[in-house]
Amino acid sequence: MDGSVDALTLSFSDGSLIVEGGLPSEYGDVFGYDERIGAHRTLAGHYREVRSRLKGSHFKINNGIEPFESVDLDHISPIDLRDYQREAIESWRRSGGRGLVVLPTGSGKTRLALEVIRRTAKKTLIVVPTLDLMAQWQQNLIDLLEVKGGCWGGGEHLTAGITVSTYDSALIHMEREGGQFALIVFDECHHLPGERYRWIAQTAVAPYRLGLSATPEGNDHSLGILNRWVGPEVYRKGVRELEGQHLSRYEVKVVEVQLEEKEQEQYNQLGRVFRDFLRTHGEGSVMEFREILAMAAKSAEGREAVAAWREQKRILRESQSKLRHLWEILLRHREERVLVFTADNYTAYSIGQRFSLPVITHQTPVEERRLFLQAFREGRWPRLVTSRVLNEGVDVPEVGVGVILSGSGGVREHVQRLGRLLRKREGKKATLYELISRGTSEVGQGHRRRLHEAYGA
Amino acid sequence: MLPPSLLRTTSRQSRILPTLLKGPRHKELAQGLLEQARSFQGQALENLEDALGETLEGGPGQVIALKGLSRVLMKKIKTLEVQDDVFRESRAKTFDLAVEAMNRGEVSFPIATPRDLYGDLPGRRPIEEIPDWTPAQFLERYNLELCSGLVARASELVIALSSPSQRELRYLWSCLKFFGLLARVEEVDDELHFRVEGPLEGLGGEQRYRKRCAMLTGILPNFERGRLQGFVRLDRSEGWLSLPSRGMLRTHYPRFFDHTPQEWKLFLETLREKLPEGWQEESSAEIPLSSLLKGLTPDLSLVHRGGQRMLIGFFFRHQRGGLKTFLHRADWSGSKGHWLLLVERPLLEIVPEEHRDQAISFTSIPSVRKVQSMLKQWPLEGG
Repeated sequence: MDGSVDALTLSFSDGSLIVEGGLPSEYGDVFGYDERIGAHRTLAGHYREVRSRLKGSHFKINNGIEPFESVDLDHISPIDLRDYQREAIESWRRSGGRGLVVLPTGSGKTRLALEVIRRTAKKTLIVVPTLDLMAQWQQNLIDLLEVKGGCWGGGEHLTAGITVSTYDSALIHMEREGGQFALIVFDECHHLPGERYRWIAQTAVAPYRLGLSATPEGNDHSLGILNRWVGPEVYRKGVRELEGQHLSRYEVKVVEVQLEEKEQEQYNQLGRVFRDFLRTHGEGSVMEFREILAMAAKSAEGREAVAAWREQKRILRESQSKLRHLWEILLRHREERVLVFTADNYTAYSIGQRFSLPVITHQTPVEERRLFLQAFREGRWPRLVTSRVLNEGVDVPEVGVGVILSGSGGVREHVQRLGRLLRKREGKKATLYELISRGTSEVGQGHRRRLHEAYGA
Repeated sequence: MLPPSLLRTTSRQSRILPTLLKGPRHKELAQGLLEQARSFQGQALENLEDALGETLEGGPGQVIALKGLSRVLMKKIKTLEVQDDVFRESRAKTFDLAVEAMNRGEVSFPIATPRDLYGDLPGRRPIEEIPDWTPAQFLERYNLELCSGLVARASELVIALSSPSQRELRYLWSCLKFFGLLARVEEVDDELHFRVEGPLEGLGGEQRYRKRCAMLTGILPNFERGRLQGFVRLDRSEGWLSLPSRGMLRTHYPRFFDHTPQEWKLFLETLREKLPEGWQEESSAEIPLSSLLKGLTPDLSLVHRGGQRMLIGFFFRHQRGGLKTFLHRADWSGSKGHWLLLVERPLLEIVPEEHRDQAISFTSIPSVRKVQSMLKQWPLEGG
């Protein structure tokens, strides 16, 4: 040993962490040598681990990533929290500032995250799935932290001490800007494990990460990705644990609706066409629907079967009895705020047209979307139809009634839709109606999506 | 580019070939679709969409081809701008009336509403313009979208150029940089192989660059002797991609500037007009093979009548990876020329201190004046 100290330089580039200098071979499990730039490279998401390993080494580190920019929040008082919110923050802190907090919609996940941001007081990115949520977070930043946040999404790109982004915009910008944030909050973090979105977590250095969700459940692979790139589940409370005290009381009413005679006849006839084709060509094997479609495309008979299946869907979608029931519910609850959920935009707009109701879908311009939500909150237009864009996160405590006209068989979507009604308000008891056409595939679908503790499963 | 479900291919030995549409029967199909679309001029876009959906008949191959053609066509149809505010006002008024009526308990099922409450939705807008393609042009576009769709699914992507001109090399280099891609250059027999990759290649990010790689399909026809190769995995087959010769892939991106960012284009045009006396652009200057293999291709070469050369490398902020590669390999000055880097401001920090005097940073458009000033001084100092 000649007494000299080896120096390593850490920097962020293109979503990766670059180490220049003589990196020893034991780091080969994380880094690869990139001969194009003559340096070692790994995904930026490994920064925390690399930093911790290098800390105890003999290297002199020129860290081009830290210090992270501070955000001046000294003058902001601690945010009032409920017991379980404090417990969640404490669990997250004990886990080293990484991990998932699982709480039902309406239980104050945003508030909890804002307190984490206040305590961290470093440059932060908040990632959310929709523009509505982005606007809502920005308002919360102003109300609770007195900060006008930056914004990535909806045609804007402004980075600030605290920035709110949609998942889609974060995906675009993280490769360039992922080297500056100390903390990332992934709101509705169950979106993150998708093949595209996980890239956001992988290409950011942020050593502190907080995932928020009411429904992180997925397969082992998805949970593994959340665990690896956000952290382990550090806290969980269910709907039933908070109902009444912190969340609104609620009831779910499943209304079985009989198709009109003609509709039912046609539905059954079409079902036979599809089933006969499967029986003849499927040879009893279990196939994914994608495979069935591929097989069906090969023959006129197959195409006829798929057309029959589509027609069945149309009958369910446009069922006159369902629309009649919906109308009765709207009349029954004319004094309350009612949110109607559909499976697709076509149905949403058909209902909007038929009943003269405002509709929010991904096609609704931002300005009009704000107007609709504001008018809904204020009670000027107390009934609102949506397909899927309001499934998550949007905060409308006034909603007392939800109507699920159609949807997927997914538990997550169903729990999220229920969540729209759960924000507590004095004396409120929410009602969620689920309209299901009797004797159709919707019965099984409805059963599958209620497999969650919120529905007593 | 066409999505995976609309890619029609055939396999031959270990090769995957796109099933191009080119014969008289296909021209008839294209003609039929164009005529059908034109008959919907002035009607709502979704009416045409529905009508096209109903014409999908024939064998499975033909149905997929028709879907692909419809998709290519629909993408280029323009709809009429509608007065959104008129619709918005009408909606607001209707909602107010409906709420009042419901509160009075006056309404029965169903309610009478304006004929088209949401008539400003994109699908409900009237068709204003159908592309004036001939059937042959329509098929060319389809074929290009089909090939792009395949390239987007390809790994180990290589652009092979045989005896490229210097202009072609600069063009390819600029395109690679523009799409935020890198390339390893190899000399294989009498060809130059550009192995295309992204900065995070090997770190699980390959998928990330597929779309950008697919954009390269559109520039390929600009090369006299160029081909694209890659390995494609489809649902039921895999193999080396075999794309058609240049003639089959005519492109609607005929010029480089179709890919050029406005800022760079403006800068180039202004600089060309205002080159100081004695300087001229040298678009055909030979780029030494050793530089090519290192990936050091200038975006612009200037030469002074005294013989001095200035090589300009241009880097936007999304080309950080390309700049890092450049910095690792560059010979900053010598007989081949002096490098001048034009870099978007956030990238300046990665240019080493000792070379900052050879870099100009910019925020939106590079300063022509600064480059002029350097050009005026440089030959005297470097000559």
